[in-house]
Amino acid sequence: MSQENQQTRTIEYIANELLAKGLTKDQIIRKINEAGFLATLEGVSKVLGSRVTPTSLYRIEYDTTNNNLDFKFLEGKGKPPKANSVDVDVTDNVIASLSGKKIPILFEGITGTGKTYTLEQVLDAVYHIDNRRILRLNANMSNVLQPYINGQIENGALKIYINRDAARDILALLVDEENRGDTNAVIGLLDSQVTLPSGERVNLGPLIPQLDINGKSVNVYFDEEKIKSIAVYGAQNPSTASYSGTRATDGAVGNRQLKIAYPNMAVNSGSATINMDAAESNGHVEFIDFYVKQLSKYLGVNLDTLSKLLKPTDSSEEEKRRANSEYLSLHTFAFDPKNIRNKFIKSAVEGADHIINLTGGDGLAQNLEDDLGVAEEWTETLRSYGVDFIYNVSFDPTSEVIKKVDAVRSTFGEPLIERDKTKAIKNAEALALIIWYKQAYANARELGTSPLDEFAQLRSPLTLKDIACAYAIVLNDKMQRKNGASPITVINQAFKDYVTLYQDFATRVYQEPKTFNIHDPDMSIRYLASYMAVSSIKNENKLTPDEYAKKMIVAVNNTSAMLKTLDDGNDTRKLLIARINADLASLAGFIHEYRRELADSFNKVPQNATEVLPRYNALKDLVEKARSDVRTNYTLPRVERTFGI
Amino acid sequence: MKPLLEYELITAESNFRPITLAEQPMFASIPIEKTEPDPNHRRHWMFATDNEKILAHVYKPDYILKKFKDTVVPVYARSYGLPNLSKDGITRVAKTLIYHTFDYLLFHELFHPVFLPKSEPDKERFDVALKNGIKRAEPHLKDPDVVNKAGNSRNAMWDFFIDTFFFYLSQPENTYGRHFKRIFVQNNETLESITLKALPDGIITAWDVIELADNKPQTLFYPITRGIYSLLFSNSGLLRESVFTYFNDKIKDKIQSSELRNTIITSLSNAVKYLDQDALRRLAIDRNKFIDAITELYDNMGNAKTASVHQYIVKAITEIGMRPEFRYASVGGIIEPLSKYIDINKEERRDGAYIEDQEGQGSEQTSPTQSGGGAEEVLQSLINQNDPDLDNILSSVANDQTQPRTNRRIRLSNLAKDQYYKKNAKEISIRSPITEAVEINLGFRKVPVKINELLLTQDQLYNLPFERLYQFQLETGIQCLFQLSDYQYRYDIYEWKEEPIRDFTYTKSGIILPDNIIFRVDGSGSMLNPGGAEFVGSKSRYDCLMHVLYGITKSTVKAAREMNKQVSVVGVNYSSSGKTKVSQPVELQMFCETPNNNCKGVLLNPGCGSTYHDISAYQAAYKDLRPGKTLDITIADGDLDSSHDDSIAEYRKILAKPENTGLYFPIFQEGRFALRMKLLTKEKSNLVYRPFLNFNELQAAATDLIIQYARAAERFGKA
Repeated sequence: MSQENQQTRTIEYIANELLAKGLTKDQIIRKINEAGFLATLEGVSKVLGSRVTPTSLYRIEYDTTNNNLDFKFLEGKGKPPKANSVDVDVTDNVIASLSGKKIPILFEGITGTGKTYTLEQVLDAVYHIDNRRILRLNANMSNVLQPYINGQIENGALKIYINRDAARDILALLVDEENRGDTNAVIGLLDSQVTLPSGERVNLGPLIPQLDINGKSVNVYFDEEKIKSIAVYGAQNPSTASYSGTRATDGAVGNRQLKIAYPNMAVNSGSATINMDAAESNGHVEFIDFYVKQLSKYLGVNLDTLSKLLKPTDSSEEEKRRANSEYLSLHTFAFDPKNIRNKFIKSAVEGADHIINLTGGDGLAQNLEDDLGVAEEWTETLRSYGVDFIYNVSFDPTSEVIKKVDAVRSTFGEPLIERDKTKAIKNAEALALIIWYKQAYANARELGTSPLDEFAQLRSPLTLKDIACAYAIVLNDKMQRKNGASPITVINQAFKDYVTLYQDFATRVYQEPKTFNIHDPDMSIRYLASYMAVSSIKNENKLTPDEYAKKMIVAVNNTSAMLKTLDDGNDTRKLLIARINADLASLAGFIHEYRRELADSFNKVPQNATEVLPRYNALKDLVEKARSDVRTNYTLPRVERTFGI
Repeated sequence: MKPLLEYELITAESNFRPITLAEQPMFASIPIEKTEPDPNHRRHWMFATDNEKILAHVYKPDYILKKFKDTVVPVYARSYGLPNLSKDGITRVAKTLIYHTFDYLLFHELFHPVFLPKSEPDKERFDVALKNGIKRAEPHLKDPDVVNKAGNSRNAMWDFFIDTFFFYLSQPENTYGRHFKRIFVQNNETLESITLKALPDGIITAWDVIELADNKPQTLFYPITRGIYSLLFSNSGLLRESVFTYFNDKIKDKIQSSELRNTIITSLSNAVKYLDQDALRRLAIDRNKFIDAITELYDNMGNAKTASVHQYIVKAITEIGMRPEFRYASVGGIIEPLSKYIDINKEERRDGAYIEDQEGQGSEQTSPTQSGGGAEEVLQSLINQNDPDLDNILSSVANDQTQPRTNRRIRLSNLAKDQYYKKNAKEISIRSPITEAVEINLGFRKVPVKINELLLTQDQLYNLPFERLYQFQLETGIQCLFQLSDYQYRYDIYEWKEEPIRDFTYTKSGIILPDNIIFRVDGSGSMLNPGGAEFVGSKSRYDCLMHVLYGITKSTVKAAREMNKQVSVVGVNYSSSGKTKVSQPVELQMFCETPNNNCKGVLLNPGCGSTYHDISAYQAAYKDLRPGKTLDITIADGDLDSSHDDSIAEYRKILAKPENTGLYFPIFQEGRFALRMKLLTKEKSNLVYRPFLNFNELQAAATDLIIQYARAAERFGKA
């Protein structure tokens, strides 16, 4: 579908209606996002209810008393609901992945369990047949990129070029029997791209409509650079002897996708599927009907007007195309990833860092040595300040705890990579979204309120719980073999190390018992440390750069010394202390390097003896700015994570 | 009907799981193995761990309940404020205390892999610290006895720290204590009329109270340390004094109260004796304050006002013990005043607090990982940590002849001998002159192979994988698609196939190892002068022979590993009549790696008598050998005191089989029997006779003979 064919009157209509109600542009975007999401969710539930049995995948339970995460793989077995827990099923994962950033999901399971059927039903509901593709791979590969390329022979030489209109038409792709073909052919598709051997490339997916509001005037336009990535799903049988046509997944393909074991529901669903509607009606039409109704309810706009825009007013092909185009524009606008970008609170960043440290790198002893080395080298560099960041630690790599962590690490097919971290972040956002809407519907049912209102209230920055659950899924996916070890134990260990260290540290700093609150945006060891560093100059004004640096670096050093005394002999905690200590040393180094810029910034901030925050923010801004400077200091990521950037 | 106390154990486990999940996630799913009651079992219960699972075996629940009712409840009830219990009340209280003892015991076992010893190096350093402490306390004690004492007390000292950790952490204001509180409040746990918000006070010592109920303490170490336990592991002054009195009553006729006081105070005070100021600063412990607190606690143990000093002491010991960098210095100090009370011959630990059948005392070591007793493990720790005193300790323990020669002492001595020779025997390098060319595979490469050819019309072109064809053409330069006419095209289908890339290289070969090696050694008096049975490091002929034997073993094992070959080793030790010892065959790797295997037991313990060949020993050595070739080596320094004819006849029988090869090495002198063996070589081509004037010559020749034994006659047949 070319840009000129994309219809945007629905967006304009809704935006005008909401504008008339006094909402700002950001509020309009958010409202459309939330209403669109819930309407999609409810529409899919309505269509799938009679066609697909829910397939429960995980249960997430967070014990706020113990700060304990219990993450269970349900393997299709539905459990009675439990307070403080949320169950996630296959459809939740698919819908969450539609709504935001690209998370290619691969469902793997024995044949006949409904992997392809379920995915097809979801995609059939949400999208018109022209906007979703199903590829079935096999050994005699047909051209997987054929829909997006044109080719012809000229004088015996092949000439191929990209069909850009076709590239804009597709919103979702299901690659079935993924490991029965050459998976290298689908690497590009997993990246939402088609790349020709000549180098010509196109990003797949529709253009995202952009909204501009000027006074009372609403304008919807397109930017060629803003494309919504297609949602890509895969389904395959395991590459075992019983499926002789399958192959092991190539590493480059495997780490682009999140693999989820698709459970066999036959026994669990039992005879519940006997009278299931085998999709006699058109799922997408049924979906649109319900979607429009719910959307009008949630947005408070006229149902008739909305129906005329989003549903065909007659049976002509042209009208059907128009209505579909309106829907796709609205859908794409509502699910613009930029509108659902979530921040992680500081403790989530810190806790995730410890999970990464325990599960990544060349080995725990090596990770520790690297961090100790950074602290030692900064001590040498900053010797003139009289500081000592050196952490004399006795680490036992043969201790039973470390052996158990290593047992988990040894099951990974490949080491932890940047892509895994990206997957975890996206998963965290998806899981958070699922938890919010599940909670929203539960609250609405309980209290008789609107799910939309409940949903809007529940949305909040992401916490350590969200990122920890995401890592549980990602790390479980990385396990190439089972040896009884579970990555969830390592995640819980990281959780425990972090929470107890925070509590011990904060108790020392505040001189009173402190309990960790997972939702508190300011609870973070590094944040406290950097805050204390700035606090050391809160009563100072017009100091020289060296004077500012001296005071702050000594304050950081004191914090480091305090932190090191919290070594209680626990080996995984030592890793956490070493890492934070190295980051603090790097912060001290940054202060030293940027002391002139710091002095300038601080001297510009009006001095207020009771307020540390303005100067803290000045320091933080300097760190952000330093990212764009020509690099001379490669420990800057350590300073960035101190500020949760 | 459910077994008695099963409910209590299951409930304790249900408390254990969520707490472990919260506090020690890596151990959250550690299995707890229970068992059916067994009235015939030696023990009434066993709680132990091998770090992979916890064993919670309750064998005689009736006995346990009776002991709690008869002994524990009377000692504890008054301090709980339950002085006048009815018969049913006693039973209820007893069962509750048992339930909470199970709570404690499960965590006690968990704390071993979590805290101490948390790894092999940790265990080893702890052992070294114990050894040093005992040595400092008793400088005139022989090394074997130092090692024995360290081995006999290590479990108790682990337990001391672990129980201190548990006591501290289970206080209501601390982590585990908060968990217990939450669980108990949720479940409305009570002890009669008392609502429980924590584990019952003094629960740690309940086990020891019933252990000493019927059994008199055999040494003072255990009851003295229980005295320390009663001092530290009760919050209530009343209970502290009550339990202390209980243990004191068991030994008051054996130790003066002033000596007891001095021992306990010094022991606890020594927890900080060897920590320097920097360490104390890091731990936030004031040395003098700590020592004063100990004295105050002991002297006022029944007084409720000692609560704050008690808490200070427990916290300090916990802080020290949790940190490996401090715990070794600390335990070395703690053990000093206790050293003289440690039994030399028996392990000082809670009976039933270890996994049975693992101790290995007196039993043959059948695998490298089969643990010996504590003393052996301590010695092994000293070896692994390369203790500065190691050489002296090894030779001293190796030559220990303290009577009676118990299995325990023999095993320890064998370990020391084995380690001594492994450390000091020079390995003899293997030489092999033959090289041959062998093919090697350098890898694989992919080549395109045409597998099919299709004729297509224009409409069929649509489905072709254009981009793959384009890529293929770019990579290979091979055209796949041809236009034959306006309407017809030819499509050549290629497939990538892997083919190996081959090359060749030269490797050394020619090492031939036999399938069996028999060492027949002369363990007579002449071989053992001077020193006799204390031959290790004595430079006697037997000492030298062991250097040769170990030197041969080192290189032979290497060859066997390279060739991935299994070789059986048999030892025969000739001495006086009827005292010849013949071992079972032991596989070479096992022979090398384990100090107490059957074969080493024979070779390391000569009889020191005359040179008498028991005839039965000739064929006995061939029992249970591997099929294949056998190398039968005899090393002797003198003449034979038994019948020459009989021995020669036996050699004939052995050499009659072509798969056997005999090597006879007279050392230093050739007696008449040796000359008869020399004569036998003229008849038997598979017998090699070679005298050596000294051990250096023997050493040089021996390994070659083993690894090239097929050519032995060729190389060494002519003297």
